[in-house]
Order: sequence, then C-alpha cells, then structure tokens
Amino acid sequence: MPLQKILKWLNSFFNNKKSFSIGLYGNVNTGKSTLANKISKDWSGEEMSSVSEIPHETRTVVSKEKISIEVDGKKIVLNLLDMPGITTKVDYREFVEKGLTVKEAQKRAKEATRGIIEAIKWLEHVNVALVVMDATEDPFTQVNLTILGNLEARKIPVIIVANKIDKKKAKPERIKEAFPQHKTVYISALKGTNINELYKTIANVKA
Amino acid sequence: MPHKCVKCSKIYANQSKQLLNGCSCGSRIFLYLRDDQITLQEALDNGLKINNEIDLSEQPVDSKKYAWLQEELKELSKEQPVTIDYDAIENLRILEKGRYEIDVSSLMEGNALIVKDDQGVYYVQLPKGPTLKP
Repeated sequence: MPLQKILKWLNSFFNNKKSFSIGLYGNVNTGKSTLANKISKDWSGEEMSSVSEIPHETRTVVSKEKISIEVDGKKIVLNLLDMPGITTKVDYREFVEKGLTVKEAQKRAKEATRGIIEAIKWLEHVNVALVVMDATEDPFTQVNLTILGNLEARKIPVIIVANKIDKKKAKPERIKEAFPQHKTVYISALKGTNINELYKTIANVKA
Repeated sequence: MPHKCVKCSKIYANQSKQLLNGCSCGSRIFLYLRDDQITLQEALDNGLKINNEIDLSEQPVDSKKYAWLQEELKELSKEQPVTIDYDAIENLRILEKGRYEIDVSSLMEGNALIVKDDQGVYYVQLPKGPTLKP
C-alpha cells in the first residue's frame, strides 16, 4: 500500500534524524568491547560484544542501534559501533602463544586484518568517535596519533576515553596531557567507574 | 601496458575490459608487466614473441604459487579485480600466511588497498568507479 510506504518512510526519516552513530576506535585490547557492553547494558539491558584476553576478539564491526540515553534531562538516541582494534601489525604467532592452533591463529589474523580495513572504511559513517586508550600504556603511539589526526581532518567530534583507571599502573593524566585539544574522560569500563561523566560528555558533544 | 592473468597466463592490453571484469578463466588477479612498453606491445601484436629474449607465452605464471594469495585477496578485496604492480606503495603487507603489516595512515587517507606479498609482488584493489545510470 502506498500510504503504508509513505508512513514507513516518514517514520524512518524522523527516527534517523534523532539518532546518530558513535564509533569506538582505538588500539587492540584497550577495552572498547568492555565499554560497548557497559553502555549497551546500562541503557538497553543487554551486552553487544564478546570480550577476550586474546587480542582481536572483535574482528567485525558490531553495532547496536537506537540506544536511548538520558542524562540531566537530555535524551539522545544513538547507534553504538564497536570497532575492531586498529593496529599496524597482526601476527598469528601472538595467538599461538595464547593457546590457539596455527590454523586457528592464521584464520584469526586474517579476520583481524580484514576487520581493521572495515573499521577504517566505517569512519565515514561515524558522527562522534570515542577514542579508547589504555591508561596504563604510553599514549604516544602511531595508531593513536593517526586515528586522532584523521578524525580531526574529517572534523568528527572526538572524546578520548582513558580506560582501565582501576589498574595500579594507570596514569590517565598522561593521556590528557598528550592530547589537550580533546575532552578526555577517565573511566574504568570494567568497574563502571566515572561512567556517568562519560554519558554527560556524550550528551554535551551531541548537543 | 599489458597485464597477465596469474591463473591462466592470458595477457590483456591496458584498458581491456577484462581488467575490470576479470579474466575469462574466472581469475580476478593480474600481473602488471612493467618492462619496456613498446617492446611488450609489439610482442602482444606478434604472438608474444620478443626478439627471442622473452617468450611470455612459454613462461606461464605458476598459479599454484598464487593460489593461497588468491584466496586471501578474494576475501580481503571482496571480489574486486586486483592488479599486481611492481612499483606501487603498499598499505597492507603480507609477510607470510597469518602475518600482516598495515599502513593505517594510508588507508585512513582513503588510498586504494595495495597489498604486497612476501615475494615483493604488489596487488592493487581497483577503486570502484561511479555507478552510471542509463
């Protein structure tokens, strides 16, 4: 029925107008999927990605659509995109050390490489980027600098998430000092520490 | 300049439609022949004989050597035809099966996917052209 089609189109048009896409970018094992799960669970009641100690657990773009977040009376609807970790080197031998067979490890390496290419291609569909960094690691990495430089060039708003502040070695202030041009939020996605601060920041960037 | 299919060794001149659609044998990977252009063109016109120096027809590409790479590229390039080029700058290097180096910066800048294998052979994913409407 033409009328139904028109209504469907209008509905999708207005829903799209309200929602926007947030992409979680960053190096491997910085806690992107743990954070995606935390956000998804807090606002939709269910997790969205699997998490593992073995690097490159997320090898395809995982999306959760229309997550409704309400902060300080502001309501926003967003599509959350958990991206594969970006790195300049993928080596199956690293996975063999973690207990995978050579065949499994080579397959994982190929999928991880494809995932990196996919994550980069998705940049053009992202409205806001959460760049997740491990606060126990040196933030001056080629990957961090490249991701931030590219997002800046594309004029995509960036929120830096200094994750893993529950760990003793964490020095989130190092991240803030390294990239003073961006808003940095210190959190522990695993423990949920300071997560509301992140939600407020997302709501403000969106506004 | 001519391109040689890595599977059946068939040679196509530059701008052949097969370079966009794939070889008649079904392969979508081509070796980019970077020798003297005129000599090779003459060779193509004369049944691939070049002053008894190179006989391309008698030097088929070892398709077995490229079989695993073809599989690899098929998945990475999503069925797009790829051309091997000896002079390109790679942004994905296959060091061996399961070991990769990625030039994140180059890919983020929107450059075409250029793969280099452990033999120093390059594979270029041809960018998609605009879709023409009738």
